[in-house]
Amino acid sequence: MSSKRQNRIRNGLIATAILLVIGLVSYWKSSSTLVINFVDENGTPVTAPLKTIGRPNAVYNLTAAKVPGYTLNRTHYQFKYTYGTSQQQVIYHPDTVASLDKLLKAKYIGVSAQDITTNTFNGVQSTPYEQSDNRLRVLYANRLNDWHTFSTNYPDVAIQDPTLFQLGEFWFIAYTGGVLRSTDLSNWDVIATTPSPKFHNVIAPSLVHVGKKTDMIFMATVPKRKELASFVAPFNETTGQPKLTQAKRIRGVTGPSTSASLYQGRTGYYLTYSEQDSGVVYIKKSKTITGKYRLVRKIVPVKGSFYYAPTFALDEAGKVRGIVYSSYYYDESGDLAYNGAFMQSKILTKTPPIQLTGQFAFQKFSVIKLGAD
Amino acid sequence: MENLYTFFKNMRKDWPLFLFPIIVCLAFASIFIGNEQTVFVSRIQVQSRGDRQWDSLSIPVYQTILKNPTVIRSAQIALKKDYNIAVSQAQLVASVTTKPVVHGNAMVIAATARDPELATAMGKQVTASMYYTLGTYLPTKDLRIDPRATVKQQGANPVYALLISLLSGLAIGQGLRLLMRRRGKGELDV
Repeated sequence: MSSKRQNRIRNGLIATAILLVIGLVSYWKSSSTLVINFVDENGTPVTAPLKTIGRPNAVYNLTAAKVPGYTLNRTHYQFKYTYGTSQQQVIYHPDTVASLDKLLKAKYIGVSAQDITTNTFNGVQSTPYEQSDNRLRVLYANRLNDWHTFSTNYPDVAIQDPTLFQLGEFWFIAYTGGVLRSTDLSNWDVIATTPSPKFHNVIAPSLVHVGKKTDMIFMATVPKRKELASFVAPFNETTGQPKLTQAKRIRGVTGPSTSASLYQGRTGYYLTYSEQDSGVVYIKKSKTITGKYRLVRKIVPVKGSFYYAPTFALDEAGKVRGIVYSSYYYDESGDLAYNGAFMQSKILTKTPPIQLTGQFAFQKFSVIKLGAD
Repeated sequence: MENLYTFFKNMRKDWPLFLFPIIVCLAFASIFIGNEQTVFVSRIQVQSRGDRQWDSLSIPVYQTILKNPTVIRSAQIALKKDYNIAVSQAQLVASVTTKPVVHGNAMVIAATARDPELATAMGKQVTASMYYTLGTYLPTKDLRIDPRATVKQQGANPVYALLISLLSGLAIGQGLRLLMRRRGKGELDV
């Protein structure tokens, strides 16, 4: 063999060895993130997505969690995924008929929002990320401390501060940004609230029967000022839009607050809201719907926690059955941690609060008592 | 005298001299493109309970506890339960670092990952585990997690990387052209 040829082979071998070492080092150092989303048939997340880190092309074995009321279209719950494909989906199918049967026989029905970025553990859900992402959940219960999530295909819309309202055969769920309308709690009309020049954002709305009409109570920035205030406006059930041009300010809400709830009693109107800085829930009364509301009772939170988003729990006849409020605190990392909702069965006198517990830590919770006593 | 206009006009004649340096620079830049990572930095402050003195001298000692199996294992379990994040202990150890502290009253913990949420979750959980572990070891000290944690993006912006490789490619090409001209004229012969 000529020396020229030998040199060429030697150079080739050295180059191959260098390339091999570079390739191996970058392979060992490389990692890829696999995200598995657990969604219903509408693509709405059912639980928090699973995230895992691994070497590209390695296999990740997943045992999908059993979600009560939902099934997979297969007999086993084992999946194999390859790292490198960034997003995967596991589709859960709701057993709506059986769940609806239980819901219609239940004593209470409620709505809340579930943060689907993290899990609830020991009744507490913390929100570590800069942005949280909430989805609607309809719940039913026979006992207040044992709520079940209604299994259906939920609308894939970010829902914050939902409140439930019944009108004839329609269910209305008002949330920050719009209204959902449904007759069967499975097919949803998503109606976004059209902003008016005066009101750009309608925050934490709730619907209320006032005489034979329906009104929307909502928070919004006061025109020309930066503070939030509560307003009442007539609501059109056919279009699903509030008449924002006829909105009137409710007087008597003091201190910064992000949501207010109202109902018409026999001797006047009752308003409840929580003060953001202290977490104290105020119940106030007035003879007219726009106020001025005067203090009737305060609910002071336990030290370290804050109560927020109080709502009146009504029955189907519109009679008040109690007050529901939610609670949060700041955990050791300074993250907001939701630790559930509470209900007191009387609004004017102190009654022991019952913790509303279910499959996740409830945020704002709106309850209607179904049927007769 | 050559100006930018004449430079680009003349470049067409010697295009291989510019093209090949640009290709080499782009190849080098490709190592850094697509390697963006997020770094989540949090701090634990330690203070003596009695005299309220900051415990700056012992911080390097506490730093050695960070990768203790107790801390890493409890962070791993919490990540799965609270955040639905499955990472191995080896990955957690590799992603979490602590910076040496010369003086100061806080222990700095940094978590690095490609996904911003993963970096945040790993950083927060390791910090929380460290906070509770240190709390059991140091009953006479007050510990506090600094609420001002930071999230930073690390890595080359593709547009900047392309622009810089284009400019350095042109500069190397021009350098080569000048060198060849002077050699051709015999100016560089000794």
